[in-house]
Amino acid sequence: MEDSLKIWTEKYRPNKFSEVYGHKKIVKKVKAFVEKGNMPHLLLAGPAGIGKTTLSLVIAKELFGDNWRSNFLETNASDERGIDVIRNKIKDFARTKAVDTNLPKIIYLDECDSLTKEAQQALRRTMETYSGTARFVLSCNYSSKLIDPIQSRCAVFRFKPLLKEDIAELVDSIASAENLKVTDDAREALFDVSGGDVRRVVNTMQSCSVVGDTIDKEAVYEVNNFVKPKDLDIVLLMAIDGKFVEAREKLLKIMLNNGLSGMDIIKQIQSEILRLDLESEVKLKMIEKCGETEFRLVEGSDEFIQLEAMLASFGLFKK
Amino acid sequence: MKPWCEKYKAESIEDLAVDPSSLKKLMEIIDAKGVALIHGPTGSGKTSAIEMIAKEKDFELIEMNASDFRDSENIRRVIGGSLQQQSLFKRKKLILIDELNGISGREDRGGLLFLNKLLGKNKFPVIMTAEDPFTKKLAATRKKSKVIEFNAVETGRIVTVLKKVCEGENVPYEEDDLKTIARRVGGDIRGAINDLQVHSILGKIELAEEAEDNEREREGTILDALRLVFKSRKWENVSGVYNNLKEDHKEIMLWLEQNIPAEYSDEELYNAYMSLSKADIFNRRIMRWQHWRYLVYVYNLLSYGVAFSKKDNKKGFVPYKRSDRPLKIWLNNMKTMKRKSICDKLAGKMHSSKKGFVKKHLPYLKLMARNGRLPDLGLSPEEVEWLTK
Repeated sequence: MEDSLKIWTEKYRPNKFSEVYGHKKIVKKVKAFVEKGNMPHLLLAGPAGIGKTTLSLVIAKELFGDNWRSNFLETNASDERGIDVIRNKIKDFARTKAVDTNLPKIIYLDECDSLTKEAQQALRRTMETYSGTARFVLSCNYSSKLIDPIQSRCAVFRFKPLLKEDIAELVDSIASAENLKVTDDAREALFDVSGGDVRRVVNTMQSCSVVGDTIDKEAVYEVNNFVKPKDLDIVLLMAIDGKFVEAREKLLKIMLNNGLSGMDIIKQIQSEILRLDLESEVKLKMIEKCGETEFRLVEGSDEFIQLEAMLASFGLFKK
Repeated sequence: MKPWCEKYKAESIEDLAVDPSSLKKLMEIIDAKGVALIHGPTGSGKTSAIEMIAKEKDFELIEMNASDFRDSENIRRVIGGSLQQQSLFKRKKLILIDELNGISGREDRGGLLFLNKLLGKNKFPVIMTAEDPFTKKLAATRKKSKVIEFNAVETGRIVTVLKKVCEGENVPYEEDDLKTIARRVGGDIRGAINDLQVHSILGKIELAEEAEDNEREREGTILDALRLVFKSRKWENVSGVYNNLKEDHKEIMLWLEQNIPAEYSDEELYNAYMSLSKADIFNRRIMRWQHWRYLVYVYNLLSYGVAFSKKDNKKGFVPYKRSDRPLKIWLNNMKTMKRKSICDKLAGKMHSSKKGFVKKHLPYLKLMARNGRLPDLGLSPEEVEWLTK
């Protein structure tokens, strides 16, 4: 067994159109394209963990069978988002014809919204030039971040988070395959914490299974609490309490441990503030400071100093 | 009357307090009409060596130093022409371009570029000097020249020169005093002679116990500066407080950043960090527009800005600490090496970007590892151990 298959997200990744959970309409149309052997470029848009990558892998597997690996190029735009990737790696792959078939190769570009504008311009030309030998499947969270010429060259499919019954179906099939018991409220909880994100459901189930054969509600919440600790809340509350030194220490720790940039932090802080249990006036003032800090982050050079200034300002809002 | 350092300048090549082997290399290049780039600390005799050689060998010395405009036009005018033409009376020429580090990116635009083009086509020897030849700016120039190092002049040699000066000026001396002077200047022979002149102004050498007012560039400590800025609210105390520090503005910011909470709280804390925040924005603007004048405002914000964040003078002793942020970042980078190697191994297999892998998979893997039930993913024992932490 392949190593990665021990991770359930790979083990239970669908290999055929018929195995895909949810997205019935989209799957039907894409399947029709594949069966006719004439597929346009595709743009798959939607939130994380709902099957965009899976669908493109399925397309490749259904088109090329066992040969799919040699006719399928997977590139992650957020790891390699420069223009060089488009000019070298993708062009090199697109230049030659597919192995053992007359079908065009498939190039899957994940997280396209993080491609630079220049790279997108380069991509646009590449899509046209090599349309004889290759088809592009692009995926992104927000299609608005792609330049119009690219959007207009693709058939666009918008993915929505999976429905409750789809998630339930998935949970049950994994549970029976792995000999797990899932309580009814755990099933609810899985849908609740995942918000329709399949990857999260599967990862949570595997993490729970490590502890015991029965998955209950508590286990589900515990796993996901651990995964997304409310650390930033604590930082904010410490800052408001005037415990500046502790707050900044903790903030630096969070940033370093999770490899977060100042901008990542400010985005999270902004949404955390809205959720804090404080008077509206205080929250409003904090939001204002947060915005000012974001501006200074962009304009400044040392992100941490700007964040410290923000924490210091929060200390003034206590009564 | 000439200052002593002029009066007692070396009169022949043999008199120079320069390392003979460096000097020999230099002579060879001059004889071969080559290009040399001399580097060495202040007062190590770079310029005097060249002047001396020119004088002894009867070269016409054509010099450009930092006080001249050195953009491409001026370099062409002064040096470009003379590089190729014979001089009047067919005298040989020696071209000296002093203080290369001082060629400015803005005012002397294109100067270095033009100079680099000339090098190699020269019909006369071209000697350049620089305090730090290993900056990126000088990379191209460095490649086209032979690099010669002039070491700081040894203390013993300086003492010899000082003795000669004392004898010439009829100053009674103790050898130990001369040694002290020589040691304090760190190889700067010109400085040593100047110091001697200052210390013997009353007819005999009088040295204070320790470094004092009339020593040049006495280095202050960052701790003293912080104390002034944090404790005082007097404009005069705070002005120029960072002038004689070896720390640059970025380091000073780190010191301030670390120690503000030790002195200030509430409103004062906020005001002080606001000053830092604004200074930081100027830092970025300096980088972006290469407008170094903004540095003035950075320093003003770091001194007056932080000092006047408070309402009253501060009392009491506070031990200031060095910022531990760089260390933490470094330690963390060491740690993230493991994370990175795990990412590199697994992200592709899970059809995920590295960033996505860290967010969407890694926490679950950690949880499984911590429960001792991580599936075998082909990770090294160290990597698995990292996951359990």
